[in-house]
Amino acid sequence: MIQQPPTLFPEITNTVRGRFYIVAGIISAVMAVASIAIFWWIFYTITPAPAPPLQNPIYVNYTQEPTNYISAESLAAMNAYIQANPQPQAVQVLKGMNTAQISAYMVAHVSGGLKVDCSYCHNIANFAQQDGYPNAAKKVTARKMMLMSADLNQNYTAKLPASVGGYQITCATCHNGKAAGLESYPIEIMNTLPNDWRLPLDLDYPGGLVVTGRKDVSNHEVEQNQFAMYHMNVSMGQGCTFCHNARYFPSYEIEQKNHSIIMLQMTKHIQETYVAPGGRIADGIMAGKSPSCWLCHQGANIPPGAAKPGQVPAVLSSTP
Amino acid sequence: MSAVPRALPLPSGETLPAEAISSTGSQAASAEVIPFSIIEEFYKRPGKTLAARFFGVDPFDFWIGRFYVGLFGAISIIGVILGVAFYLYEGVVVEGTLNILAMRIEPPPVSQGLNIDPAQPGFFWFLTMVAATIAFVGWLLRQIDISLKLDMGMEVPIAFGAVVSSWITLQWLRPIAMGAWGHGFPLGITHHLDWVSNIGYQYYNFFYNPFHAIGITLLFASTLFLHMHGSAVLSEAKRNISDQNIHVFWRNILGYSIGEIGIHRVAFWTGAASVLFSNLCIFLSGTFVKDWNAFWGFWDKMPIWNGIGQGALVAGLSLLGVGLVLGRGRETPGPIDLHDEEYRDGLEGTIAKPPGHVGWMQRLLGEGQVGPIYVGLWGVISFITFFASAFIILVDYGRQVGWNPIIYLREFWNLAIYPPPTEYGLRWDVPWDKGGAWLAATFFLHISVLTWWARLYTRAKATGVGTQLAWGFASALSLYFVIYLFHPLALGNWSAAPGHGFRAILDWTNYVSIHWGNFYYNPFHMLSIFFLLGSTLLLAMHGATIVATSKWKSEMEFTEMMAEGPGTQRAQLFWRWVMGWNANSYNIHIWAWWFAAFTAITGAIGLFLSGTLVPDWYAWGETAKIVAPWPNPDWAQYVFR
Repeated sequence: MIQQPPTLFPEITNTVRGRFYIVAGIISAVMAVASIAIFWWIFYTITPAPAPPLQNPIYVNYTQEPTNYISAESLAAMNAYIQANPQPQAVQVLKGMNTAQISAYMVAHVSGGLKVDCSYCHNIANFAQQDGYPNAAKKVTARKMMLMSADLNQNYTAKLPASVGGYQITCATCHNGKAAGLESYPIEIMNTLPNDWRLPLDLDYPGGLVVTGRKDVSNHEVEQNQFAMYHMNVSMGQGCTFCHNARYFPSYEIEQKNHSIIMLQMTKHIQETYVAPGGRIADGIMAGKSPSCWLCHQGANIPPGAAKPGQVPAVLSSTP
Repeated sequence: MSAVPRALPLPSGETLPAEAISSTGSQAASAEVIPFSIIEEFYKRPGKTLAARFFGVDPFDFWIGRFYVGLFGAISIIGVILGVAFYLYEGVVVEGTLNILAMRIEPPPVSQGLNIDPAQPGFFWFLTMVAATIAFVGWLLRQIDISLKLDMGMEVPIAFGAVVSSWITLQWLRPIAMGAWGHGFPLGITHHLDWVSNIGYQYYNFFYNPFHAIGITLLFASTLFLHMHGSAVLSEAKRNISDQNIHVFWRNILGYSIGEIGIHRVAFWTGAASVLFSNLCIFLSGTFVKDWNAFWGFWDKMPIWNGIGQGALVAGLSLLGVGLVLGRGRETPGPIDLHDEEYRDGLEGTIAKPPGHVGWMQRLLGEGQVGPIYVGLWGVISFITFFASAFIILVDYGRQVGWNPIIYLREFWNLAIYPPPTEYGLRWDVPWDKGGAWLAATFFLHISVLTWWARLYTRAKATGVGTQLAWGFASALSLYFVIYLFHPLALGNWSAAPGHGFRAILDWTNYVSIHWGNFYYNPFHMLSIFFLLGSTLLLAMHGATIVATSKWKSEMEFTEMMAEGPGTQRAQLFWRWVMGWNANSYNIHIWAWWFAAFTAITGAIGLFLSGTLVPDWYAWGETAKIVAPWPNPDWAQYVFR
């Protein structure tokens, strides 16, 4: 037989029981306080303090300070050009505006959206010059980009109901202060996803991502669906219930889901028309960069670089 | 077999007839049986309640039939009647439905904040919720009264208090912390499932909520312990064997037999802890945490992934190792009587001899002997195939991270080996990195669990105990084989099975529910959850009751089955007075065994039908008319402001 200690369970008196409850209470309190402290430590480690939204008359949550990226020389040249040419000389896209209005748009939206100097596209000795100077090709691209924003505003954001707020797509909406090297996917999301993962841009909407109740869909496709959905979570800073009644994901009970369908259709349109028209990326104007929700939304329900109503020139806006 | 003399501190100071009380089964066989109703009369004495102690008078200190009323019973009953009335008024009169399954009692809109306005919707939710809170707290205090009357410990009210704390957290603390009653838990038999769906997906992915994971793990652990304990007692009952057979059986199987008091203490702690972790998981969602996926960023940001942190970790582990080596000096293995079954050498013999004695386990659980472990042919096959399976999984993780040990540890929760993709169907000739590793690992795991079943069965036969544990394990295997074999076979591809990895299993659970149209509307999933939570409830009730009466040695259940001592009498009277009926020390374990078994069996049926017979459980729910109509949802509860 195994030797057992002689008295395993001495009689528990009320004094002992009382002491037990006091000690157990103290230990529980200490552990509760310690676990709350650990939780707070983790909480503050993972959450940076949220920045207050930037107050800007033009943008939702983005700021542009021309003197930071437009040289004094360029500003002087621009003012001289406005004085010399009150009416535009070679305008192809921004019709119906005078030179001062075009310049204001250029400074606030184009230069401001990419945070570049006028000379990024223009010969500042003659702003109207079309070719024969080093950056002439950039000007051509910029025009195509403006036409793209007009296309997107008139054919997609125009379909969003007024309750969304009437925000318009402009340069900063995608560029967010970068001329190139835009971020389609945030690093945090790429850490949690396989490296070959991308938002599917070849599906038909509505219904393109539906997996529920489909016997022709495998677990792998369900996984791809969840990656796409998680991309939207992170991009919008919202949970699944922002668009879904999660008791049945395929249903259309929540208005926001219709908005996201319009936006997914727009993303697909950008991919087909501006990234790889006719299947050739070389013909596109986006340097092979595929669109994503994150590209514009950057973790916010309304993209920080979206323009407030009335700030985009009529020719580029969905509300002319 | 314990031979502890029984004390007989009856409330009145009277004593029971000596022949009714015996400490051993052999004596009990010849004892005269006294009807329980006569024994009950000895315990039915007025006084000792909270009201009697504090106010000197308790006007409700009486019984109606088997029910004890008490001041708090009266308060509870008022709460129950009002709560049911408000619930049905909202469902039948306001919502206009007689379908009790599809009734929907929503909290007030979030825009109303913490104000209560009788003119606004949600007022009857608030009244129902307050009435229910009164009923639950009253019931808790009534349990304290009955515990006091029977001189029992307070474990049952503490365990029930853990559950009440869940209600308080859901309906009071979290809504108040978030600033609106609208964040409360809507009531309704299927509609509360809608809330669970929406809250889970509002915070991105609730499967990644670590407190949710711990809570769920404890629920399943509760079911496992309930099943193990129920099996242990049933396999001993009605056989001419002693507690020692059970001890040898468990030491043969696991190298440890927790003992009579230990299992009930673990039951009480596990049951209560599962609820407390669940409280944490819901309270933190929305108050502090918005994205449970991003929450895990803390793991990647921990200082251990750089050189200094790793140095500190290695130093800490080395210190722990040194401490363990030094600590070994305090072990005191006792003299050993070599019983043949327990100490035989060879393949069909045991290892871990002499058994170790672990002091803290002795103090915590009442049983400190670790070892010997039975080896046996089945055991050897089971160990080796399990090791092969684990080896394949863990080594393939290494291959995936390019053999970098730091990334291996940092990404451990994310690493997985997945079944072959859909295009391979049910083929076996799959490249190693495309799912071949999964097929091999899973095959070995199948062999391992089957031979483990054989080990449970043959050791039960050899040690003379019943085979209840083996058959209960078979019910768990039914779920296991549906998940990893039969469901993929029925769907025609291995990719329907989960990968082997922590996140892979959570993801699979999410995918399978989304793919087949919300598992909450799967009636077999409903039953499985009912039995899962029911198992935790039974475990906590039984464990708490036995610990609360353990000063009369009620944990010696084999003995108590033959002759109930004062502890078991109190344990039965407690529930008879609380609920109006009671189990006894034999049939509570029948409840235990079946609840645990049905958890796995109903789960297996529910999964097997998904995608084979029923592709969309929500659509099925609509056909079955159990979905609550939800015409104008107040969606403010489910979106971030």
